[in-house]
Amino acid sequence: MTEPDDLDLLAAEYVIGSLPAEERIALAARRQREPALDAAIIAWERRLSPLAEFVPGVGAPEGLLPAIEARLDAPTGRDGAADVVILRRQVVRWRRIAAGAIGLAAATVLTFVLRETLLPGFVRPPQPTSFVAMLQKDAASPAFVVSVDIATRMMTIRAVAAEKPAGKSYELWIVNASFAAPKSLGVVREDQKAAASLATYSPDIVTNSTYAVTIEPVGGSPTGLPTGPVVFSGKLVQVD
Amino acid sequence: MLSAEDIGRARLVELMAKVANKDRAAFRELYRLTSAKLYGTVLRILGDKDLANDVIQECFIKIWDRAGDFDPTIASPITWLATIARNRALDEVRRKPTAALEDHPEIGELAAPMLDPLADKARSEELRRLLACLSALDEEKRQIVLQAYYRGMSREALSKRFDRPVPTIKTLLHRSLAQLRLCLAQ
Repeated sequence: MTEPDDLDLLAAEYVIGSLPAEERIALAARRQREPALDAAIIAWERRLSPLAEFVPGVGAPEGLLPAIEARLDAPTGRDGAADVVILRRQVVRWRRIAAGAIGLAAATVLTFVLRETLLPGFVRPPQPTSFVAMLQKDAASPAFVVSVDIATRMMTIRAVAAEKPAGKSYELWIVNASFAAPKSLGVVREDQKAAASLATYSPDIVTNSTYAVTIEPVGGSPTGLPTGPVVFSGKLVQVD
Repeated sequence: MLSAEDIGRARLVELMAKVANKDRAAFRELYRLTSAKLYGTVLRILGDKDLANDVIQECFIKIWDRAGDFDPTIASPITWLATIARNRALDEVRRKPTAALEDHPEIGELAAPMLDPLADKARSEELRRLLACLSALDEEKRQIVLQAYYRGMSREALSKRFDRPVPTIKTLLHRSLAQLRLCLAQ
């Protein structure tokens, strides 16, 4: 256990920025479930915020504002649009790496590290997300992003570009060689965030499974097994 | 009587309220008034203009999305905006520790904050108190705190910079921060 005083000083280090990467991420995750820590961080932000006055302004390059506005106008729903922006940037970055490393054409199921950094809340740090996967059918069309906080084994599913299946539902499955059959994680909607608990699966299963989305009758598969085609899939990648 | 600073703050509060209502003209004005400050903040931490360009775009998209969360009774607008920018930049620089600022000396040394609290009467009361408390720290401790804050230097980077083992840096940081906390509470 961390002593309260230690915790407050870790909060202070979080705010001044001196924590190593792993500790920063861990503290950001703890902040989500420990109101006392969250309050300590906010208190330190307030204590030190006058220092911001000393930072001299540097003219931002021309063209940033139009670029920002173009992104605001992007034809995606506003909710979660920031995630899509991140995603696009990461896809570009991933492609650069992939082009050099393994060749993009080979990749039909893409997974890559995604740090979710633009999240709701007052100056919120990254969500307690340790693993992320993109579910997609090919490199150009990410459809859902799933993220898992391995500590709580809660999965968040966010649609980024999935189109509404006419008269059908999307259903998410966990697929693992140790299972006799894929197991349902529930119906996911193309227009809202969803959460699923993976608490019944071990961390090893959670991190080594494939996550797949099928098209099912409205409300989900009537049989408990996938009945429609897999339209998107991906594997989790550890973040950092 | 209102100072120029009060007027500036009131203007930003008004703009934030309009941005919360998705007023694009107000957003452009907010960008015009604050982008240099935020860009300076993230560039100092990231030390890389391309990265700073990405991060600042994300910051303003977040500002557009989250302006409704801003509460002028809790924070000043520029503080709120700068906190968003610093957090994003710190997340980014920790994600790519090899791109730390020490590799980019051309970004320039931090303009040393004036540590004589009496030197600048126009600054806020909070800033005067903070500076008084910072100036009570000995020089090395003060520099460690300020380098972390302004440059986003990790314990490890500070260890190299100040030629001290990492655990010593951690101890010095904790002592300095505890001392600041005590001083500010008085």
